[in-house]
Amino acid sequence: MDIQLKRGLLDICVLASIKTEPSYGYKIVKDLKPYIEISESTLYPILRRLENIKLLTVKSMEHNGRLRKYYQITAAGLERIDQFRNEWVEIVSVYNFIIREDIKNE
Amino acid sequence: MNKNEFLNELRQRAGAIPEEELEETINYYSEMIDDRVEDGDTEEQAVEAMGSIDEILEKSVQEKHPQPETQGPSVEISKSSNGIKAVNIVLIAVTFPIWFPIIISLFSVAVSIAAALISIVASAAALFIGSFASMMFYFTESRTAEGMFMLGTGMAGIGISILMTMLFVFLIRKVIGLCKRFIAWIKNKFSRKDVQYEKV
Repeated sequence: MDIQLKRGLLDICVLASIKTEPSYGYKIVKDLKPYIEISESTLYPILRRLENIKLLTVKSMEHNGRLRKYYQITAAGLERIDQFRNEWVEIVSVYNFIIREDIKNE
Repeated sequence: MNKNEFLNELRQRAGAIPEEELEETINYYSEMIDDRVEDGDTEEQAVEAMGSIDEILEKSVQEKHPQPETQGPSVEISKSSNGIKAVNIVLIAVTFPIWFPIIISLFSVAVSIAAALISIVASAAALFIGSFASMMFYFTESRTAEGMFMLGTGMAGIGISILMTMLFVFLIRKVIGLCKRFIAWIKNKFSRKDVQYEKV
């Protein structure tokens, strides 16, 4: 997948993975793996960016005698997902425009 | 490579990444490795799954300083970075009377601590040599009790010198580490924008 396109999609995927309940880094990677290629080192800057623009918040909690960071979506983060659903409608219409020649030729 | 080796290498190769950011990065990868191990990976497998350190560092730099998209703004940025640079240099020059004595005194404290440790090691070594020499003397004279006492003090001498040498090496390493961090911090203050262009 094109890097720019994937970058935008990954942000939404990460937000979607914490949509219903807070989650932690390794679980986010595991949850997303079946749908989109993502590694720990790719996830890290995304989490930092989403935290900076306040689409998620971070809380450290104890787990097995060590600290684990849990990421929780904010109201703005949920809004971003909604916004993406509207964008998707636009993307589909652009897609239809892109492939229109193919349909005529068939 | 195990977890500690991996995190140490990451720390050492971090270069101009600010301390606070580096700690966050280290904590993140440490948590990832622990979680993978908990999930059944061996430590080596978990470390391998993190990818290469080059890639990790490159990604964090890219994210921090995204590539400028057109020619126009990039020129502007470099202009303003020169401005910041000039201000910084002037500030550092003006505050010279404040920070120079501080650095000198910190340096002399470090040197005196090192000197004290070296002298403790030297005297402990002397204690050890002297004790063993007198032990040989007492044993040849068949004065076993005194000989045993000297053997004891000799052993204590070895122990003290080994402990102090370890402490000395530890402190020297810490000081070198601090200096490295400090230099990296200074570099970062001056060339944050330049790093961006090198990476591009």
